[in-house]
Amino acid sequence: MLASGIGFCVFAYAARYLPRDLAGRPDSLAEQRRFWGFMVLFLVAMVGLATAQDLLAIFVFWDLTAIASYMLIGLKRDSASARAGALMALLVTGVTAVLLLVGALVLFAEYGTFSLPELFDRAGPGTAVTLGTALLCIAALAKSAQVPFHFWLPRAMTAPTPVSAYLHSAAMVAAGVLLIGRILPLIELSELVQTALVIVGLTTIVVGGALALLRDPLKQILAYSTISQYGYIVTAYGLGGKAGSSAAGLFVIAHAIAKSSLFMVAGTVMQQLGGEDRLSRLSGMAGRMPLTAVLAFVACAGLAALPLTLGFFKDELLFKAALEHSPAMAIALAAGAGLTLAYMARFWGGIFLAPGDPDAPPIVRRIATVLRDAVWAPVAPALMAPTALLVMALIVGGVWPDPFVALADDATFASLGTPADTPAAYHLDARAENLLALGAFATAAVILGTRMLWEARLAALYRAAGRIGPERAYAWTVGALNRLSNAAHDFEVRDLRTRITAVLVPCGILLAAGLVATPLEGSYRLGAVGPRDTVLVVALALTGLTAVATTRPRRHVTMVVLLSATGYSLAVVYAFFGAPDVALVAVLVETLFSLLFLGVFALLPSEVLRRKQQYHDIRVRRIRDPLIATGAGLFAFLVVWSALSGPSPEQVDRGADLLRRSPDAHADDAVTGILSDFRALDTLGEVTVLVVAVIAVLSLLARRRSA
Amino acid sequence: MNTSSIVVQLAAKVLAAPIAVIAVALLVRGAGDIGDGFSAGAVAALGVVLHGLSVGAEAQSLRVVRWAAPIAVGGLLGALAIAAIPLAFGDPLLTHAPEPGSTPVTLGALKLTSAVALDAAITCIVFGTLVALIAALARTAREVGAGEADGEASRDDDRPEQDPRSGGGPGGRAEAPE
Repeated sequence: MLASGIGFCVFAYAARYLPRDLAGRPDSLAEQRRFWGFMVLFLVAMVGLATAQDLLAIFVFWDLTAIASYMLIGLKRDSASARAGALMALLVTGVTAVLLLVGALVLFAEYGTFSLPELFDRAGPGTAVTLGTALLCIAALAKSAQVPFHFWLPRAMTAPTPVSAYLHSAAMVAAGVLLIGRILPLIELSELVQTALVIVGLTTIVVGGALALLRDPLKQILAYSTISQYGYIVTAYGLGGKAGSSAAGLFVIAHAIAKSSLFMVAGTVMQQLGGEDRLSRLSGMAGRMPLTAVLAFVACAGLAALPLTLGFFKDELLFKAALEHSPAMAIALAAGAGLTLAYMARFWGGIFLAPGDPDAPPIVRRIATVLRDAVWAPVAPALMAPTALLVMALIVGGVWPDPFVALADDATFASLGTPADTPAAYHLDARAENLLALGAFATAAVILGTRMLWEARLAALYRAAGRIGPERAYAWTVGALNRLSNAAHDFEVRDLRTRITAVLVPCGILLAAGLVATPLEGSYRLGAVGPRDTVLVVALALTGLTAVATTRPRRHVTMVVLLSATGYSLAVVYAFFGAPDVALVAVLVETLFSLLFLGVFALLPSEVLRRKQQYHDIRVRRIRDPLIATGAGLFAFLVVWSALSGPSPEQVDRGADLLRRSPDAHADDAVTGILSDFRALDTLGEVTVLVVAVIAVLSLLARRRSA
Repeated sequence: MNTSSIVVQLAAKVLAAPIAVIAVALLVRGAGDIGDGFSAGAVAALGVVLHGLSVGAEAQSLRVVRWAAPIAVGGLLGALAIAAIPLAFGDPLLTHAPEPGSTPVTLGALKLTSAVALDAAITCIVFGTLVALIAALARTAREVGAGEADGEASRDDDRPEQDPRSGGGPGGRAEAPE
């Protein structure tokens, strides 16, 4: 509902904003196409995320939103900051999404289901729930840009304004708290996770709010404000219970409406001024864009929880939930609300008022100017209308909050399964919620009034945090991973041998680790060898001999011949081992592979073949390659040996079962029965891959011919 | 035309019919005996390769070579259809028909079951992909090889040994660029 409603307004705004924003860029049409495509993908993923009842489905939609957001932030591909911001958003939300999957698997391992309703039924307090829920929460916190993952959101502001308005105020960040809301019954099983949520939420309120007071670019102020506001929501969920959940639900709704309209206002202002986005260089815009100023005022008021807007009730409900928890919590949240009011006042005042302007017209003339400009407003109506629609919703909600509160209660019902009926109305008395609201207004006044005292210190603190903060850690990690990846890549692509080494050596290490970790008792058995096995032993010896011999010759054709000799002697082994089906297939495959090898050699330029024949002359390779080959072969041998020594009872049963059922399936030959019946789906998958691969090879060859 | 190619031509002509019979037998009797769709397709493809060797460059114009790719794709579509038909009757994918345990209709040794139909589709896929792949390799090798030979006077190294079992087929052409 939220995703589609705000989505509609933002889409309408973007229809007008985007062509102007992208005008004059080389491939503006392609960018517009991409924009609409990914916006729709995002909308679909968001609706899917909201309706999914299953952790795996949530994971898939979760990643879809991350991908859409990546493409949208990086819409202007020629801009380095857009690319870096897009990558950061993708990595921070994508890497933590893996934790979501791990958390889902932890819960699955314990309770055997991914379905949320079933999990709620089965789960009880315990380590598995705490661990799984904590992992899910980390993913959610990263998505909602909570400390210490907050740094991606301001960077994502390089996206076109409609993207910021939609994804980074209403939808993508909301996905995080949406997940928290969905798993609330699990969270309530673990006090540790609840406490952690409250701590992270409160920290985020302070960090986001302080930075919103400090930053200069308009969209960055809004981004930090979003971070801080979602801190409230996380705190509300951490407080738990029906009151907390309903407060969080209403908070999400009110914040999304207010913040989307503020982003659209910021975009409009920036576009009117030819891209000026610094608060310090703007002032007195009220005279030039009065209607925008009014809309922005209501939106700011809504966000800052002034009465007569929907925002007022979001704070009311939150204070109420906090009071149920403890008075100290309520006071802390009220102080945070004061912070919000302070940075919103700075935002609006900075853009639209002319501070200390001596020539400011008297109030009557000013209103006349505003009315005149409203008639001749230079701002396109198509930009104003969607903003106005959202702002109207804020005012309606301020007078008549019931429908919105009902929506939040529905969300609580969806989360907790118990109906909530939260009262919301204005009370003109000295109840605690009202006092807290007054306290918040007073805090804001104090913060703004003492600006001179803290501004420089805060800026210094921000710079210091930039040197050691989480963003730094991110940059270092990405840089180190990049270097590691480059090193591995440089080694791997040198030639075919290093490429194989890059696969074999890590495999060998993994296998060795597996061997060390597994109990080996009874897994390395030697069977008896009698006179009847002579042919088998000879064939095996031949296989080994030809395999070793393959390493010696220089000429490639000889190698192919020896390789196929290895295959043929293995086929003999199969035949004597009582597997004629396998032997037949082995012979056929060997023959075909020899043909294909020879065909490919015919295609390679003779120069390349000749150069590769000199390969053995380099000394270091004569030592290194056999070492790698022997090591990899040895570990493969050990694993196969142990697997064949002690097949698990289930494996034996399954094999016997297949043999018994073959005649029923009209197959007296079990191998055929397995391939074309019991395991027909596997076979179908394999042949499909075969056809697709061969089509690819054929088109490559056709291109080579035409070249 | 040298002696060896005459021998190959003769062998190809004489062996064509038995190879076809073996391929069909592997498919039909596969359900009860050694062999299956894969082996049948591979044997048939080897038969075509042998025939291709005997006629050389003209092999490209053989009808079966031109139809190889469509046969493979048709086989794949057939296999997917066989897998999907049970869905129309409300059964899971790839349900065995007729019912397990019942007696299927037979045509000689051929049992008419869904598994055998799938096997036949696999035969088409294996046969089609292999023939198309080898024909394309041979054709590319000839055309690209001819292009290279024009550019640089062929410095004939000693001929590479031939694989006796693979019949020295495309291998015969393989030495061209060496």
